[in-house]
Amino acid sequence: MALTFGFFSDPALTTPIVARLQFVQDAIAPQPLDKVVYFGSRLSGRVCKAAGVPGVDPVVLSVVDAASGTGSPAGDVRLALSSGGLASAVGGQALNLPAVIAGGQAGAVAVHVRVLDSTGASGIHVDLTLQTGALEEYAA
Amino acid sequence: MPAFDSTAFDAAFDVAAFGGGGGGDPVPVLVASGVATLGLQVSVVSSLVFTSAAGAVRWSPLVVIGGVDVSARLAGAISVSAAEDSARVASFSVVPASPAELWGFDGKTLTIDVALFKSTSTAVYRLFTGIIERYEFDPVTRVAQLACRDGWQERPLACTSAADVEALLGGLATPSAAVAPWSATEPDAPAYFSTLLDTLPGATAIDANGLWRVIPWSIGAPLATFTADDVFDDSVRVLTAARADVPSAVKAALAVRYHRLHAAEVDLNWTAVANTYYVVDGLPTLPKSTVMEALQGVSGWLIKGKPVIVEPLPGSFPVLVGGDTVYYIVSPEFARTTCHSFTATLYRRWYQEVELSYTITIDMGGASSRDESIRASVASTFDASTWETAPSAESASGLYQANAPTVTTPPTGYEGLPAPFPPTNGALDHLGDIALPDLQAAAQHVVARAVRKAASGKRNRRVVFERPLDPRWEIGAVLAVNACGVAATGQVSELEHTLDIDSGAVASTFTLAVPDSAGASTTFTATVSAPAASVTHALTDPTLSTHVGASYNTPAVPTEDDLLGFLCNVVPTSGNYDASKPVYEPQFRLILPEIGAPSRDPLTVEAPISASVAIAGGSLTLTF
Repeated sequence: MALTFGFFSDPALTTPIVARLQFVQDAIAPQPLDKVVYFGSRLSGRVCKAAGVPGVDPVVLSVVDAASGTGSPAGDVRLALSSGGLASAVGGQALNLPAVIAGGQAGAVAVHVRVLDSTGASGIHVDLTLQTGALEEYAA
Repeated sequence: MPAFDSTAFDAAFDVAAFGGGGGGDPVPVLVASGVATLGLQVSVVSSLVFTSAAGAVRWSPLVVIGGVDVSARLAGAISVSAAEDSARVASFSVVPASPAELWGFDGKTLTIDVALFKSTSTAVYRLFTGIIERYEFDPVTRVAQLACRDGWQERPLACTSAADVEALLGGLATPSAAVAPWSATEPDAPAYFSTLLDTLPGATAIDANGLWRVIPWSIGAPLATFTADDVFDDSVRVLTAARADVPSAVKAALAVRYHRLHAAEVDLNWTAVANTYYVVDGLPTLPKSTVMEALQGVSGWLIKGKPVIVEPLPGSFPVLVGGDTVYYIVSPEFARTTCHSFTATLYRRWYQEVELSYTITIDMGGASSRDESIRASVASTFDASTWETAPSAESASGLYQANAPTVTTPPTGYEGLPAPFPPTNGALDHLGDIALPDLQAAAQHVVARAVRKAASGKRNRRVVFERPLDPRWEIGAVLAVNACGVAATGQVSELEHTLDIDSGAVASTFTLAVPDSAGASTTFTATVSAPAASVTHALTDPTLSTHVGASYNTPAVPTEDDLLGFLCNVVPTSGNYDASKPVYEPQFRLILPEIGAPSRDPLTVEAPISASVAIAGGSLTLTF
């Protein structure tokens, strides 16, 4: 059975994000571009934990670069749990989410994503993905 | 046969671990495992494709429906439009590959991207993310025209709690549980969303990526300025706000209905006449019971505490009558039932219904006298009627002279009155279940609605212009245009992109809200003060005495208002008897002061809301 936890485009978790999230950057004078996505599940009776030591280990969200050396480097992406946290976040560094994430809108975790291109290379770069560590989903 | 040996079972056996027994928390069940991913697309673009320098721009659309690229089968024009507080919609035509694909379009997710090329510069932008709402298929041309929507309406519809809706509005709305409550029994998320949206100093929209956004109405420095070289000729238009949108003022009022609780007291005292009158005129004495009946019988008034009734001293008292000494005899039994003097306090409480209107007026500067008023109300549920009424009275005189048994019945009369107790001879504004934070939130809610209404009206002053396709800007972006004698800076409130595949023409139309106001952002602060009664009741204590009728001393026309106290008559056998004079109905007469109408009648008062309001303004100048 597939995870019901995933990324949504609104805090009420009504709409899962099914397409790649686009960040447009100017090739010559790029500016940091922030977007907010929400991690959670529509099912309020579900709980998500990291697979390592469930309930103890945090759910980790990483920036995965599928084609290192080409496209965008992972360091172009900063993750934080608040907009203010983006300033001090380190590019490419994984983000720790809570160890236990409840389903339902109340449990949604806002993930702030900032992209600042360092390549200056015009084109579409689709080598970056935000990916959680191994997760286990429980029904209460 | 050996007896059952319970120790044979290992004590470590935990039945709960197997789900047995009836206690303990349910054990979570692992239902799925895996990883969650979110793909990113970094589109590094050259802004040179948007410059107006000489040269041609090529473009190509990329439309993906349910993961299938249908770009090669597009026909006609693609249109994408968006506006504040409404869904982004898209329409385009495609040639379906098969009936199965056509049937499958319904409800499919799709993205629309556009790639722009100019010389060696490229730019790829997403224009739309949403679902296919419906399609119209022409079997002759085999072209299906698809109408798509981003799901703006579905977002509030999917909310299940007030917190969800408030989160959807980014915490910028102003909820009030008192005037705009969320119903847990009959939740109506769209209605609650609509109510809160009316307090938002900004707008909501879903961007090209399908992300929900809450956009504050704030107009700072423009992100870009477009000159005549950048916009299509004759495309610049200036639209003024309608008179109805900009009245002379927007007024808002929060009516708070509560009770003003009053209390008043009067002190009473009375002393019997000299013993001589009882002997000479045959006056009756005043029984204690008559006093208590009188004190208890005044409508609306209660005895506060216990009256102090002084009995006459038992004994024989010489009285000189016509030169002879006679004795006025008071037996102990008679003394115990007779009042020689008393002091008492009578208490009255009552409530007054008050409607306090907290008001604010936002000057709009318009000429229309149209009444743009916003009104909300909150009412206390305090049961003033029960508060006012005393529990049924027990006999205040008591049954016992001494050694009264302990009474376990609830207190009655004054002692049984419920709280709150207003100050003596004063009043208390009692809001009941309306707490001060609730009152503040309600006032802020009302002011927020007024600000939203005022700002919305002013934002209807607009400047529209059209230029070659420019998907860089979203709803809320601050742009400036300086072309055709129009210089304006405003916030994008509507946009439309059109891409004509047949002709190759592409264009973007932007509508800028250019409010005529001075603020940089749309904000407000609002506070109200809790009502506080400033009332003093100065009631005159009635003067009680003994009034004797049928006496030669009795006035022929007594002043009835002054006949307060013990009313009695001279006996006919007395030498002071005068049959022609008024004869009183024996009684102890008590008339207490009236409560004036201003303290009783429903009251309507007004108080200002302390507020500061700012509405973001754009700039607009015209040059002929």
